[in-house]
Amino acid sequence: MNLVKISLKNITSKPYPAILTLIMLTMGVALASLLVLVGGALDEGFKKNIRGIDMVVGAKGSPLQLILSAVYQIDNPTGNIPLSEAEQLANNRLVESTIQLSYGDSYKGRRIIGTSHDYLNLYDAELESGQLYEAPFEAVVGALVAEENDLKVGDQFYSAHGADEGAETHEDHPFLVKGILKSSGSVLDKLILTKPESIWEVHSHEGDTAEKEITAMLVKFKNKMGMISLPRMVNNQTSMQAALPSIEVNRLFELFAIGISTLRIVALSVLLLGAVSIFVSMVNSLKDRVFELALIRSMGATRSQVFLMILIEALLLSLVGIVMGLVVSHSAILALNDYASNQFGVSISFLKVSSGEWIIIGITLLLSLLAALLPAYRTVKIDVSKVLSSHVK
Amino acid sequence: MEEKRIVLRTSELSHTYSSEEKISFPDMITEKGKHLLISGRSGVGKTTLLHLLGGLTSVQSGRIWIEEQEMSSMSKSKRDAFRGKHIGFVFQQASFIQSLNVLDNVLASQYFGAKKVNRDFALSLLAELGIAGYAKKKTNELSGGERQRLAIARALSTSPDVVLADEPTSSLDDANAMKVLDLLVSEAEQNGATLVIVTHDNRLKSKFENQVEL
Repeated sequence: MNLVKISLKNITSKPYPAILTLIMLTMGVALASLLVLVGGALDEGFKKNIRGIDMVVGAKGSPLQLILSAVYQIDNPTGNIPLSEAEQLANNRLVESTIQLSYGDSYKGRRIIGTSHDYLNLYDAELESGQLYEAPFEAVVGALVAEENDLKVGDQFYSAHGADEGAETHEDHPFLVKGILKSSGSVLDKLILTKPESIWEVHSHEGDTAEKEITAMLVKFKNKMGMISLPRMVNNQTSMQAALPSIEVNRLFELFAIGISTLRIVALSVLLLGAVSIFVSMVNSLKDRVFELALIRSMGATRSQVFLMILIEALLLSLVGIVMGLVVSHSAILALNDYASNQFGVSISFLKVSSGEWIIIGITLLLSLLAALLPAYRTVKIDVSKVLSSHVK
Repeated sequence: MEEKRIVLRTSELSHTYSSEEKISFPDMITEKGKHLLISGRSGVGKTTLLHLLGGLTSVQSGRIWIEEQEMSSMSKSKRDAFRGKHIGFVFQQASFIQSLNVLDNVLASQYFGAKKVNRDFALSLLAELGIAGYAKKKTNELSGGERQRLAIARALSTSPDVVLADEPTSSLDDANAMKVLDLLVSEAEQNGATLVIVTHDNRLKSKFENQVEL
């Protein structure tokens, strides 16, 4: 027998008001934690994929589209750029290293990208099986693509023109799967990688081959000077466009910001409602419980024990609400994980409670305690003798 | 145990209500085991006296000693603790913590009063009072007589020196009233507690030699 047990029994013996309070607390915590988790994962996912990329050059058009297509492999490319012009930029003394990307084909809706092994190293890719491609029409397949299409080392497949599923296939040039990549949570998971020559040869019969083209080039600068002068130089003096991933990602996040702050207000309001519900149900139940509390005092309970008992009841409620809310949000994330890693290369752990969530837990506990403070204080004021004698009929 | 230990003593006790009506109580003294019956018509301050003796109401004028300790000079929180340790209550209308079952109500009384829970003792009290079979039941499933017996078990569960009973029998019929009174007396004696009963119930007068009329 102790205060916690008595408080618990007080809650469970009259479950309906408690359930209402719990629903609100659960919803508030779940919403707030979802916001924190998704926001954090997006942030992390987007930053993970721009690691080591200072600048992207591609065909002129929307800089955001260039970043989304060349870095995150979400959007369509802005077009192609001449290889010669790209190589000229690569030789600039402010450029440390470059990675060329050539698009054009796909397999079952997954992009085939012609590039060097440097692109794999950029994301610290590791092979699950097989080896890297060395010749045209050899391919290394991302973990997700291999899983979706049940591809194994030694399998052959035909690419389709463009990025759409079901487009015209290039029947005369089969690709050979040389290796499968381990899942890394980066964009590599959903790509098929090959030598750039594969892309060029597939399309060689289709038109003018006088000038070789690539789709985009990822650039790493030698120092900060590159950041200042190179983008302007590319945009003003070449037919290409330069975009800075960090700037474009921030712009993208600003687009989300209004939605996220609205949701934040909604989550906080629901949490507040939960606290108000604690307050109302406690004030209500105190009316019925005044006699019982006086009785407990007559048994020798001190004022502070009764005060504490009310606070413990609020704390128990909010703890259960917090646990249920976190279970709800983490389950939702678990369900969304497949989709998210598919679309954005983002994944979230089910069991880990993030630092943002600890803040939510703290806020919820604090709100519940504040809500219980006034009802608890009223129990201190109970005139035991008066309450006990007024009860006699 | 020494003989003739004074359990309860009052001196020049009086109480003034907010309506400025003043009641003065006669001095009382009780030795260990000499149960005291305080009788009087309704409205003469019986409940007030009981609440003063139990430390539920602050003493305005006069003094009270329980077990040779002057309760009337204690601070409120000290009085709460003292009450839990030394005094048990049986009220006219037996009331309990509704969310707890029969046994847990007794245990809660031990927890709040004696600051120590003794489950075996609580169970043996329930058995002596013939309600051990109801230990896991809700208190509102008990009959009036059973509730009064549970109230006795609860009052004795902390092994108090004094049990203050406020009209413990007046809501019961003759047969039940005598049964409850006999149980109250025998259980109090068995557990070394001295009874102080306030009542207007004349059926009890013949049972006690130590009486005070208000």
